[in-house]
Amino acid sequence: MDTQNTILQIDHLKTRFKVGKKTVYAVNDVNLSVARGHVQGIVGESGCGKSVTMRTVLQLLSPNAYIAGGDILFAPEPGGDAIDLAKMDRYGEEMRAIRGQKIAMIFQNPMASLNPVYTIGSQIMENLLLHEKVDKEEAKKRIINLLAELGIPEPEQRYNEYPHQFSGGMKQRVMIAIAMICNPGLLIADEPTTALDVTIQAQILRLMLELREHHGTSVIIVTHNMGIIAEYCDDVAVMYMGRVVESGTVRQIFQNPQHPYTRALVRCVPVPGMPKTNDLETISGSTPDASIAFDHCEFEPRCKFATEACRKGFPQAVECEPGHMVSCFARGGQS
Amino acid sequence: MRQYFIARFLSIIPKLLVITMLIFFGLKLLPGDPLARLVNPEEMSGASLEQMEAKREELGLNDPVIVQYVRWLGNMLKGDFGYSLTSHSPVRKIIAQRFPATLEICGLAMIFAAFFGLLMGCQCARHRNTALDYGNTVIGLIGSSFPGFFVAMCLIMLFALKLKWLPTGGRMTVGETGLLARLKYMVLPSFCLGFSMIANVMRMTRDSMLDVMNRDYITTARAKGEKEGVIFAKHVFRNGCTPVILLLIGRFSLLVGGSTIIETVFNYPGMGMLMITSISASDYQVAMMVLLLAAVMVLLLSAVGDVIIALLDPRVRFGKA
Repeated sequence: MDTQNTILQIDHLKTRFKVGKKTVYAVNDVNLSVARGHVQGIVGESGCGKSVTMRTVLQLLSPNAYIAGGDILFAPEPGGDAIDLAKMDRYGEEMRAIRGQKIAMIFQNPMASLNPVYTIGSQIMENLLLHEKVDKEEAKKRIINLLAELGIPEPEQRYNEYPHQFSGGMKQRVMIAIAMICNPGLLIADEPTTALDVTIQAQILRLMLELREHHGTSVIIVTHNMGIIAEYCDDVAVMYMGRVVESGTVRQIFQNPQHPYTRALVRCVPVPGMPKTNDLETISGSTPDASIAFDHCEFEPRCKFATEACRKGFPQAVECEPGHMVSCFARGGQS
Repeated sequence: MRQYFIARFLSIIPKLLVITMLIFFGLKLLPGDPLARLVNPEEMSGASLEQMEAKREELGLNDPVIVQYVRWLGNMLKGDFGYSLTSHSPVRKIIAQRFPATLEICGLAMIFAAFFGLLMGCQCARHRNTALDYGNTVIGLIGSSFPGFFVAMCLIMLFALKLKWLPTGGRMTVGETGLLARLKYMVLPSFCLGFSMIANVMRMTRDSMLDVMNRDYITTARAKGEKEGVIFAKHVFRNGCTPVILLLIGRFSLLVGGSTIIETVFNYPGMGMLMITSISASDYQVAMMVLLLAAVMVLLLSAVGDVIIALLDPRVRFGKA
């Protein structure tokens, strides 16, 4: 792994859930590489395993979930050694030292992500004091400065207020403050704006870009919104049924989509100025049941280009242009 | 915050007025001469009809009912609860003896039920669907499904008659009246009262904690790198114990009711026993006052419960649920 330019590299990751006697194959074979200092987008429809993949990175999984294989290599320092997060004990000291300090995460629903009984100041403080030895006065000053930087008006006063006194957008800013207070190298935003209205969405996403500028943080944005990917990300990975089917720069994916699924995703979003007579493309069918293990390409049942080869196995990723990977038999993939 | 507390305690007053009114009119409806309940009967023995009529006028028994009610309320506030029909001593004196006794065993039972209910419930939540969870549930179910008097008799047989560790009943021995000396008389009745509550408290604790453990803010705490034990103590417990506190407070009134049986079994001179003896002896004045006191207790406790919840949860404090 090139730790100079890569901060996170996920290899053949598999995450599964035990639900009664059934096994849910949420993440089947994810290969993903996040460039240092970049904003990486992860896109896919609901239930394709994008959130589970990101939660697996920090092992913030429910007790019935387990990692069935693969590596999550994380390199906090450029040129330094990479550590394998997938091999760590979920409740162990090593993992806890990573969480909140080296890799921080913000979640989909800011309304429910803050503990209602503590002031927001103390909730940010909790993260800071867990990882750094600072005295409380100093810590408070740092938190207030960060709140101001994140565009929260009257931060001194807001410091002592409770989550229910904040609006949704402000709560998400507080969540970002919790995530950023220890200056993590990587910020994972799991659908950070899905629960917010469109104007607030733009503010929050722009804020995350600013953080990248000022703190050099690498960012992963998980979303199902192609517009967000196009506007805020450098690179993008397209996921389908627990696999990354295509990845590359935003320009590559949008201008030259290769995988049939990506093509459909790109074409199902209306573009301003497109002729009114154009039909938007739809993807027929729905995602298969994740509790049934596939023995061949998961997209085959919905794919217009499926051939006999697609029913025989999984396509390996091929590089169709520099940095642009696609996994599809129709695009020259081999099983 | 202070405003909330004041408002909460002031809100007791109208409820109290309704209760006192019900009890006052209840007393009015009772058969017999009210004079007998209001005046020391020894003082009135051998009085002529004229004297009695004069006394009646003096006490205002011929006044309109509302005036009488207000006067009665005033007397109550002064601590004048009337006289017992059977023992002829002031009701205030009788209650002053019995009330602390019941408060002691009910209080101890509450502490017992709250401690073990919360402890076992939290264990169940943290180790859900394991042997510990099922074991605790079984213990709790035994407590709630065996009737109190049965458990009481079993305990008397074992600890009082066989092992002779604890007395079979009563409240204190002559010459030993300190709290510590009374404690050995309190243990068994309190245990019986509390045991029946454990299952409820435990179940409520378990479900409430599990509910909180699945909330998003617990994942946030975990994402900060906080230890599991700290997450439970700091983030789960404080949010999860609110419904349990409400349950405990609500149960306290049932506890006072349940203590009638337990007090009878243990021959423990508390309010429950007083209630039984006064009703069977048609001593209405005493029975009504016991009722009134129980009602006041329930009102006060529910206010205390709300205050505790407000201290735990800022959304309640700031008037937004």
